[in-house]
Amino acid sequence: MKGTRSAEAGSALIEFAGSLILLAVMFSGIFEIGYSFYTYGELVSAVRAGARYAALQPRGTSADPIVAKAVRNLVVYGDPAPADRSKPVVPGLTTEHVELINSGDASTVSVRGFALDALFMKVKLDGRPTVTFPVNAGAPQ
Amino acid sequence: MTLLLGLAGLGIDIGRMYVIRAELQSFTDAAALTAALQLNGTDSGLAQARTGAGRLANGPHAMRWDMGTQSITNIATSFSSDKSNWQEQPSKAAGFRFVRVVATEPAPVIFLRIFQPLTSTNVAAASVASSQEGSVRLVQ
Repeated sequence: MKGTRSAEAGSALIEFAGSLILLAVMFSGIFEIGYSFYTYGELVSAVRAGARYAALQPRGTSADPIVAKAVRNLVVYGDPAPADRSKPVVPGLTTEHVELINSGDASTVSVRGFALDALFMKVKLDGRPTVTFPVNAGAPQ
Repeated sequence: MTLLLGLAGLGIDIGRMYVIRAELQSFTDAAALTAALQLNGTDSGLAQARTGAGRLANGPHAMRWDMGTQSITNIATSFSSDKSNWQEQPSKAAGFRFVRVVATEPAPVIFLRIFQPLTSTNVAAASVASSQEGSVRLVQ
């Protein structure tokens, strides 16, 4: 049951095209999920740094709003006082997405209302990652 | 196909484990500090340190694992006076100024199952904090 030479070549081409599409879909899926894990890991360490920084600052002074601003900048740009046009650690993250809650004995930093952009899908991050550090003003970093 | 699954395993399973470890490490750092802040050389301070370590895993601002979806439940707290000999339940509180918090959670394994018959593998993070003359700091 052999077809002609040209028909064989044609079906091989179609098979190749089909498997190429399948491979491309699988590779981009792997990339997408892997990338969102990577980005989430970056967010965890940024939020941790922000919470630690907040917990080390003295409380209840007129400097509190300045500290809050520094915490947001630290989470988003990796620097409490970033230079102009600094790039955020994660694309699309702004200081609006960073929530700081100072309770009596702890500082909590969370990501609020941020959609992590992973190529084809968006991962909604509302309240995660969140990190709380106990207040320990003046201690070494 | 094995190659593809291996790549997926590397990108997804291992990537997920790294995220989980980062989450657990943030938690143990904060928990060890919370516990160390309670140490004051008395038995009640020791008891408060033990509950303090788990406090951050509960409540409305609980720290979680697996991309912030699971509660941290497996938390081990131990105390030491010299950072080498660790006890979970010291008989006397005096002199115990180091606290170690270890969090262990089972990271799910999806693609790497083709190499190892595992459905999950434990990922752990540990932190040690010290309390000395009213100053509390992370040691490691």
